[in-house]
Amino acid sequence: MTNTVIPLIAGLTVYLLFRPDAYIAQKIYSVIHVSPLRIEIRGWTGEIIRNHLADIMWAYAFMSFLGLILSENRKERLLSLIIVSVQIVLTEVCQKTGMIPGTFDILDIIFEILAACLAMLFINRNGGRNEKTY
Amino acid sequence: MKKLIKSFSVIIAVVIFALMAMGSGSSGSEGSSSTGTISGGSGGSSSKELPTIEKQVLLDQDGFRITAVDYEKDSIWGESIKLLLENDTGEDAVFTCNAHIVNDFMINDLFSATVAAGKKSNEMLTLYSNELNNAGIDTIGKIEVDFRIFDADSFEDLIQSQYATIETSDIGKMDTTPDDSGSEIYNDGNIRIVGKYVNEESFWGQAILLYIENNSDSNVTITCDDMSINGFMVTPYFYSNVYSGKKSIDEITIMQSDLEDNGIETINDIEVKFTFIDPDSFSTITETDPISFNVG
Repeated sequence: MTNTVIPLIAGLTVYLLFRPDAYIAQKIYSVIHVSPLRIEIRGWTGEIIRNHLADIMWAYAFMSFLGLILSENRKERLLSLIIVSVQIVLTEVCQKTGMIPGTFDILDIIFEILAACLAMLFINRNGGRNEKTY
Repeated sequence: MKKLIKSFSVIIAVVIFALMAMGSGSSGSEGSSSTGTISGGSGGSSSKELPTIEKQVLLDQDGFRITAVDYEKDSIWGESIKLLLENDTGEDAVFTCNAHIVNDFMINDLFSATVAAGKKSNEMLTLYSNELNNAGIDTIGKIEVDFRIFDADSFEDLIQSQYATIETSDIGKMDTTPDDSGSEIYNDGNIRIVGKYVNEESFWGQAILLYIENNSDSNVTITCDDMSINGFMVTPYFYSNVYSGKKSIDEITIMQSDLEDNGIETINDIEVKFTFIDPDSFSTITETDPISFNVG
């Protein structure tokens, strides 16, 4: 569960510190009654942190969470990776078509799928010993 | 049965994470307002008539235009100005504010909207009810906004600061007498700080409410440090941005855990140092000596 909760909290922190314009950050700032912080980091590091890190955390958390449910064998874990990947692509496509707020970014798809694969590697490492061996 | 539970769990997980993905977008990016509005009516518990504004262009520069269209009221968040944002450039841009000022009081500036290249968007600039109540504002006569527009991808400033003023039909009825009741704790002729009272119902713990006046020629950012309460050192959370000639009601927040660790039930004796910072250069203008005070 920590592989789900901690990345989600980290992702939320990224929004609060670097993306105060995001809907979720705005809502939180208005509830906690604190002036939004604005931290700017220039260069490619800043760009990755601002534009992709929260989404990477989300994809990792999502894959980890699904991995808890679909964990019986390799086939189920592969299915969870497929579900997450489809969700990632669908979300970006919906942003592109304007169905949901956000900006379409091909790098988001790449980073998020990589994050999901990383989560699956950890799940496989921990889930392998649950599989039957013959 | 097990398969059914698994399938159901997967569906729930997909829905939850899909909602999270939707919530991560910038607010109002496709021109939809996130709050219902009641225009010109007497929503909620207030029966007073809403003021009106003239439709006016607030900013028209470098392919960006902001027009104040109407004055409305939202039953949850409070009174709002309806803005038409236009982006006639080739880049996606984020329209936001460096500051909102109502009747010369700094108000929390939570406004942000992403407008795609070549598009327009209707957005609400909300004047949060609790912020206005804290400042003792009943009648809104003047709204000043310092707009900022930046590139949605690179975050580079396109328009760093553009000031606009909106006068409502209630400008003549606007109460300009500030509620500065409390103990004056600092006054150097430029910056004046009054300790008002302790808010024991703060979300994080307890908060010390301050009234701040900036009578200098420059905008100033105020922070504080080296704070003690009842003789125990605590960590204060305080950040106030006050434009030249304006006032602000802000609070120093003390975490509940900090109070409990030090056995502080009631805030009595307070000692703190304030730092005044130039918000453009981030250089320190001055730091006060330790100031001791009590608030009611």
